[in-house]
Amino acid sequence: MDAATVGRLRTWSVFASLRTHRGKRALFIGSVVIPLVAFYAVFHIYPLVFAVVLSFFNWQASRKTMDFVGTTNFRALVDDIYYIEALTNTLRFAAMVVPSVVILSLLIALGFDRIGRRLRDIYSMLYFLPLVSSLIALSIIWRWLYHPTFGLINYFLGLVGLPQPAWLQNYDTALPAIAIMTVWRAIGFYALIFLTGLQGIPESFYEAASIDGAGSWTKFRGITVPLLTPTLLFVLVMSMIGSLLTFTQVWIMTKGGPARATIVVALYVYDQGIQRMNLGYASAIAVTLFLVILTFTYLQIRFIRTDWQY
Amino acid sequence: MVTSSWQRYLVQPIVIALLGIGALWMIIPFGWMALSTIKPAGEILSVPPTFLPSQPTLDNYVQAFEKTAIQRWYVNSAVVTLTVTFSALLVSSLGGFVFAKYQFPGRDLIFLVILGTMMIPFEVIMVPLYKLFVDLGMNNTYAGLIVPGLVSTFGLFMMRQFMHGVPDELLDAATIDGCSELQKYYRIVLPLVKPPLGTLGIFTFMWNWDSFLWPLLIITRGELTTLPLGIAAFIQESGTTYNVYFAAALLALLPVLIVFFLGQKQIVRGVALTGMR
Repeated sequence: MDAATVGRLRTWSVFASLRTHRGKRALFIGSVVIPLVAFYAVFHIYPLVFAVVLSFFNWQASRKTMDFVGTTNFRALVDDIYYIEALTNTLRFAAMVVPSVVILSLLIALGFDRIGRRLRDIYSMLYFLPLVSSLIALSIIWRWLYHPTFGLINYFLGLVGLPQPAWLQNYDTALPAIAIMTVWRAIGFYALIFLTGLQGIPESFYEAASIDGAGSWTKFRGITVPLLTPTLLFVLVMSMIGSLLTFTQVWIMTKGGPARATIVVALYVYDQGIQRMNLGYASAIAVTLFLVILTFTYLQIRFIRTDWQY
Repeated sequence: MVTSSWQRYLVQPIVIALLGIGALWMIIPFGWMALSTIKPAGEILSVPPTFLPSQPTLDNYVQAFEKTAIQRWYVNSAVVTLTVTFSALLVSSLGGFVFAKYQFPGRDLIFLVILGTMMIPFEVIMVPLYKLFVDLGMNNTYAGLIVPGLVSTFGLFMMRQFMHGVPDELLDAATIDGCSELQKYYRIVLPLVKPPLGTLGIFTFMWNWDSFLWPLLIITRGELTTLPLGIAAFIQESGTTYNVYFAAALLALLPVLIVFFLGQKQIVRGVALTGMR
């Protein structure tokens, strides 16, 4: 047999094997998995690798050349007061949002756990409404609620004789104002997560504790808190990541103002990368943001015990 | 929980009342906005603010349609969101099925890497992704809006979890009866995972309807503006015509609110089932 015949036979046998059951199965698996792998390689892995690589280059989109500059971008960040401002604002924002979200949604979940099923269904729907609503629309509503003269919030504050700040137009109150709106939107979702965690705790634990004479507070500290730790961790990590990445509501409500009081890192990445086309520098900012997120995630997983068994 | 009588008659009403006050805070902003959309322009700018409109009018809606291309934004958003949702459901169920029920080399590693990409925030990869799409000539196209959403990592993960619950005996019986792999997916698996698929569909629709940052990057031409993008631009251009914003914002909210009320049970159950895994 000459080589060409062998080749043809091989090809034929590959096709023949595709007709068999195993072959068809392999074809099915391949035609699902291979496009998926390609999709993730092109739209997730490649951009991440490229972002890291870019952060070591100087590349303005207007010029066609990419110059390797080592760690210059990262060293420039330290002296960039706008970046420091953005990072500080982002961390301050997270410091306001995360604890409020955790405490409020836990309280709501504890309340949900104590009321009847039908009422809980109605309530949880209402608490869920902001989460499912378009963030753009909500930002528009809140911009108006915060309006110094025509807004509902200052109207209520005036009724009870409290000071009426200019909210989004005031340097000191703008970031907290966006934080309040963000917390308002998120608590319904996290309350539902906490509720799921609460209902996963076996009833018998509380009964046993009651027999041993434990009071409500002791039961809460001794049973609820430790068994709820995995849920708590999940909520902490999720709300932390979410608040570090905040973009849309800031864009609509203040666009980073007044006087850069609400510029956050995601907004700065957009500003540098898309508007000024400093792709290398923007990537360096994005990489530091990623590192901050990874660090927080790691710390929260590391320092909160999750090895409770039941 | 074991409820003693003082808990039932004292604690419970207090809890219900407190939660009720909270619930009120959740809906007041919506109610106020909805009522504002039918107030005349002058009444919105009145001190003190009014709740009920003194002279209800639909003028704000008329203006929203006249001053903006909101019909066009609606069509664009609908095309993108529906395509993405359909694709995400198909890919998630097929992919979830394959990753849960078949053995092949590298399966667990591939799935782990896919799952790992959930850790990569969009904000971190947006600049290279933007560059990639511009190089491919996909900025200012429907494809550019749609392609990144074709696959949902969350959906893959969620459907794989549910596929584990499909009994192997059922699939083996189908093999013996001569079903092809695709027939097994279509005839046996798909009907079994319909409820979680419905939940996933609702979530995917709502998330993508609201999608803002990615369209903001790659769409600069008016004809392809999606609803969130259009409204955001409109606000920035038109100063203080608040009455028209509200009408536009309510129109943008409408589809998600409808989906939410229709699919409310699936949503709540979906969070309970998947939020923690």
